Amino acid sequence: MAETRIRWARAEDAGTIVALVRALALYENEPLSTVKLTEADVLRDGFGEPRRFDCLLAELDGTPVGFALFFHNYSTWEGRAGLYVEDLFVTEAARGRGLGRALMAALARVARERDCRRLDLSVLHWNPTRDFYRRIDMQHMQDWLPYRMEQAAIAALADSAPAID
Amino acid sequence: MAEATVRWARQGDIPDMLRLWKLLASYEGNPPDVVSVSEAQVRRDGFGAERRFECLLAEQDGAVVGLAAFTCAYSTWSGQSGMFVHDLILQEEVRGAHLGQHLMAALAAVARKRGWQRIDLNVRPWNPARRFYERLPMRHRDDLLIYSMDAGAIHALAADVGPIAH
Repeated sequence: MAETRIRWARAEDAGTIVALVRALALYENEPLSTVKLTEADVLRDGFGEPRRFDCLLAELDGTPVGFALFFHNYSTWEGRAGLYVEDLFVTEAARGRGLGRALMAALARVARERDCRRLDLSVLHWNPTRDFYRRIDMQHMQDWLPYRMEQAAIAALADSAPAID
Repeated sequence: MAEATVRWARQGDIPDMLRLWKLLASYEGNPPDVVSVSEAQVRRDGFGAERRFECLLAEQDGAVVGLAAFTCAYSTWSGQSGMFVHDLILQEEVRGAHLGQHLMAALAAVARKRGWQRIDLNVRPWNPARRFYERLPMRHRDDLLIYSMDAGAIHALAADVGPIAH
């Protein structure tokens, strides 16, 4: 029986993290050119200061085959941080062994330890993982729509900004 | 013409911040007690050593009439940080007076200065502010669905696992 394990990523896993992000992009039918992330980015933002994200790895017989990358958001109404899962992915060959659930359970443990009352993520509408999220009691927040401003629009709008005191 | 300005929130603004958050909650159809945050929590998380969010205020004639609160997000595709705006609210009587535009432009200036390459927010389907966001322009990411787990489900799932190895 193959041995599975969830552990915190370390700085020496930076290359593995980049490879897993690229595998996720392929799964989401994005060209690899959309992934600009480099090992230097991972070292700076995941293991330097200020640290911008945390990362868990899922291992199968000692080899990393999945990851969960997250950071904290904030609920001003509740007055406490929440946990936002930016990426959750298990490589195709390693699926069906409970690694996705083990990653989510580990995230829930981190959320509980850090007193986060919510765990949020975004998922593409066609992704069959939605069934899995429902089984672990995540709710589709149908009354929230995500909006995004990209870099060019940010730059154009910033030109019209008032002075900020 | 009334003078409008945007400035960073200070600790002395906490009562105004709580007032605007309650206004936002009621605008979105929630009972007032959905905002359970205390002044002490806002002081700790907004102005303490381990800051959890940042806040800009819009003022008109010296009175606080609007608020934008945000956190730092991360994009693994770009390898860059971004801005997540979790609250944007203007008092009803000042809507339509370009204060929303001023606040969003101020957020964009903060994002650009820090090298943050995107601004994200979530909005209710019925909220007329969607048209304002689309003009900025922001894009509705209609292929993306938001899922959320509450504290009860987090605790149930967390019971499945022991300490996480380093």
